[in-house]
Amino acid sequence: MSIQKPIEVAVIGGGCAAVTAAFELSRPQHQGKFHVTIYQLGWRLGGKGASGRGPADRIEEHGLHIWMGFYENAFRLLRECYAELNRDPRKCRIADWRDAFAPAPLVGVMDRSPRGEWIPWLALFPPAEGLPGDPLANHNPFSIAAYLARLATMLRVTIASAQMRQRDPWPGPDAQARSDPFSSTGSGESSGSTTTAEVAAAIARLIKYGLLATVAGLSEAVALLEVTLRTLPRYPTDIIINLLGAVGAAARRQIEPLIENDDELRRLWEVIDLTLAVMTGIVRFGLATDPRGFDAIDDYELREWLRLNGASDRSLDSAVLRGIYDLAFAYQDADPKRPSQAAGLAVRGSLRMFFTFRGAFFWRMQAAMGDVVFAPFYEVLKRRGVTFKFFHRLDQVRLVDPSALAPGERPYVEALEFYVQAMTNDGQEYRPLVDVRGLPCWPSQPDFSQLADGDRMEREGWNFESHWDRRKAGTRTLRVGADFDFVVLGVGLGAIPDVARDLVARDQRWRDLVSHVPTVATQAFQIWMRADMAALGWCHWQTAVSAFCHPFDTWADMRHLISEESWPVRPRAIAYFCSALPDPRANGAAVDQAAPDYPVKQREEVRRNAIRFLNRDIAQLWPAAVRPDGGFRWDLLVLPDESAHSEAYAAPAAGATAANSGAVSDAAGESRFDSQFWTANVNPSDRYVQSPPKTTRFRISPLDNTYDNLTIAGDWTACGLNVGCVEAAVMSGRLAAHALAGSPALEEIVGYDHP
Amino acid sequence: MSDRPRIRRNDPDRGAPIRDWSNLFRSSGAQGVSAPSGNGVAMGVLANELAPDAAASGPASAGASAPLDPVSEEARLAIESAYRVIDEHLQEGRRAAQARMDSARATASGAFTAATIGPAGMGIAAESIQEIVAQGIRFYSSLAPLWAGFVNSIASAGAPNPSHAAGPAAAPLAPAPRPRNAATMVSATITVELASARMTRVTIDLVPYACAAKLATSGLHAIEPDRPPLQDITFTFDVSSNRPVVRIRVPDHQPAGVYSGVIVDQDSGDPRGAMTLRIEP
Repeated sequence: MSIQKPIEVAVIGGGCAAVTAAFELSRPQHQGKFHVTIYQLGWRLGGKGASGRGPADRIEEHGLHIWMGFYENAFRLLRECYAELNRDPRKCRIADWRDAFAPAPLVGVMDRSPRGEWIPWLALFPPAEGLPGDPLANHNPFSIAAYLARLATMLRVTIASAQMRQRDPWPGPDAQARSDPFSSTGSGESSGSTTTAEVAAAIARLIKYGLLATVAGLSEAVALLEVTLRTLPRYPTDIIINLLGAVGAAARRQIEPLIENDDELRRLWEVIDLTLAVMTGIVRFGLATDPRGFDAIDDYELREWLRLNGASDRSLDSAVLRGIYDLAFAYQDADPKRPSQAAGLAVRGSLRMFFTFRGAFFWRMQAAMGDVVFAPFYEVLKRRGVTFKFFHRLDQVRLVDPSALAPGERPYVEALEFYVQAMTNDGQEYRPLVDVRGLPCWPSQPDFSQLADGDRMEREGWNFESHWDRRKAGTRTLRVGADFDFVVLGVGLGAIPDVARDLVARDQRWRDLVSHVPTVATQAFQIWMRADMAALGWCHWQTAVSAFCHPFDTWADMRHLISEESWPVRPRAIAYFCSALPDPRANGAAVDQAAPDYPVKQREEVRRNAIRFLNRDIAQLWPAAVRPDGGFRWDLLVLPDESAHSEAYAAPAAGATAANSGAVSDAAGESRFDSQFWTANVNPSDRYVQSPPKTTRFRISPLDNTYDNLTIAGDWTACGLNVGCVEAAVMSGRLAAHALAGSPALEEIVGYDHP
Repeated sequence: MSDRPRIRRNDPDRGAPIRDWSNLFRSSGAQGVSAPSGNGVAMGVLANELAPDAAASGPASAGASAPLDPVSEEARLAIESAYRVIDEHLQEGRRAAQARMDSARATASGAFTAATIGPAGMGIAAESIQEIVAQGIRFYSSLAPLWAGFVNSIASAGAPNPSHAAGPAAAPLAPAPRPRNAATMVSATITVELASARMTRVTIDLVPYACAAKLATSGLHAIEPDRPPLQDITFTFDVSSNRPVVRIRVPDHQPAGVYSGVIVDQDSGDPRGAMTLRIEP
């Protein structure tokens, strides 16, 4: 009896896409057909989702991660992972996926009023039926007509909200003031005792009442839209466009002038306006029947497309729309003045985000992303027999010499060349996880004690994750047929020019990929504070908020993680911030990013940004976090090594004011920031992949078979969603597995065949 | 691992997503690409959640022969009926235009008739304008209820109903008003205050969202050009009842007959409906 050798698959990288591919290829259903080895630089998995436990077991993230309720593929795999992991809840506090993720139904944006104030606007998205990752009877239950119907419903609800908003603020007790100026006498005039001011007030109210009538009428019109759009293909497009146009024109003309002094109504109107523009655009551009689906408008910039379909300038600058851009770091060169996102994928992503979430709009991780996602995957993959090779930095994907190819033979990957960053003691397997009160977690630093010559490496400050630190303990070359059969290239797009030099040199498509699909560095910082959010002046529910001012447009209240960490002085609030980070320029030219001190300078830039942001901007979010004379109250920050009995920074007593709460000098205060966590994600592979117009066509699919032993995985590939996020990465990883194994079926990749 | 012949992966069945909505309804669980399975594939949980009607009509999206759900069928028939009527009106318009052209040719040849000249002393230009106005009034008078009926038919699938006349001297319009919610009442009801010494029947047809607009009319005209128009008509808004009000005063000396006119959006001038008064002798 002969035993067939498994197909050796080299998965390079340990981010969401790569781990997904490994998870799919190592499924028991394959009966050992594939043996997977993951090659990972440094000491931890995660890629852009990597995290570590730092001092006081505090969580240190790559950025701010919140999963969305439409991440069907990501949740499905994660749930399978936890089911297979089968942790004992008596021994591990995160034993099930529901322990790992909690619903977060609030969505927040910071709205800039016409008066220049920043106002939080929080929207509660009621739970939708089911849970993300639940089985679907049909693989891709998405249609643009269904979206149109949902948009129409949303339009109606929003208009009703506007109506209620208008109705509520009206004075109730003053019956006379609310009396109808056009009374039954038909005179059209007020009684003789009414003053001029009262008449003016009555007129003003009447105007508002006219508005109410308008929105009610619009509500009725959009109710009709709901019906027609649900069966869109049966109706002539002209009719729907005309109806949309009539609704839009009437609404814009009659509502927009009346919202200057009503922020809530203005926001609702902005949503209505954008919704109308999307609906009009879908119908006008014939997207419901276009075989390209939303791809048909990917050459348009989202704002440009919305403007073409009637969106007003006000709505185009609304917090809601800015939030969508912030979500995808969608600014050219990280410049907030140059938002750029392909219309098709932005609309597709937004529709999925708003209308196909299940359970909750957001799902908040209950520990670090590494802890709740990558540690479980690591453990399950280990059980399945997947091999992990940490401290392996890919240096080169080497293609076969074309002259060596037989006639008709496709090119292929001949060798994979690695820098081995460190060897383990006695060649033992590296054990990457640490135990944090029963929960397997990733540390923020490697365990040098497991490494040969680790003491020296630690003393010399080897940074295994830095693109600029090329120190190594050796090299290793894997050869096709001997060490691997198939390759899953799962590194970040930014690393492709460096590690796939042959591909870029020989293949125009790969040159187009790296030259046309842009990436952007990101920045993030986390602070731990001794006052709770209410004491800081944030009197709202826990949420994440975007569309705030740069340099940090997005903030998340992470108070739920307090109990997950081990502080001597327990913080009462944790806040994460993030945004895109501009590449530095000097004298109008880009700074050389190859310079050895580049990451250090950028990290210092993030530190300066954070301090400036806290001093200058944070008062807009947390008015009580600043001193009376301005500037952040640095004494609020909790230090990991702070004594529980420290007097200098004792928590302010109830009712204490900023002035008497132990404020410290600016210089001493700002230095306390150094104890917090911040990161400049400038490593090429850490750079976020953007999706501006006219670029999606340059993405390469994991299904591409030009190199018949190579596939690719990452949110930078043509994976269907084409937006940088966990779901896109997981879809890509599943596609990569399909490319090698024929499984999962494409029909099982939820949303791949989305219009 | 020893060297072995290089393993080549198979070509995938396809290399890109299928974005075309018409090909989306395939059977689940098949390996590789699946051919569209046609009609009859049940939509999933998410589909039903997304849009119940769309889910119900999902198979229809994949093929025209799929059965329609009753609501959609009703709406489709309403649309088709509406278009048939519109087509009739267009044909009528063509006939009218043809008649005017014939009239113009007759004018050029000097073969006037009483019917085309009209009352003594009225020149051909004024007569033609008057006829065009009359045609326009008839057209809009017909089109407005047609449009209202059209959307009402669609709305019967679950949306609110169009407006109807109400008030002291108002007669209900066809189709008869049906129960509606309060929000609908705001926009779908208009109060008529009529001052008339004689029996007068008022008919108002409005498009569904017309009550949201500032309404106006330039007056109601009779087909007979010698009859003075009804001009004392004002639209206001009654805050207490939350509905528009139209006040109509019929002068005592107003000749009996049918008067009709277009109701327009005061801001845009777009027609929003039609009003007809029948003053009994």
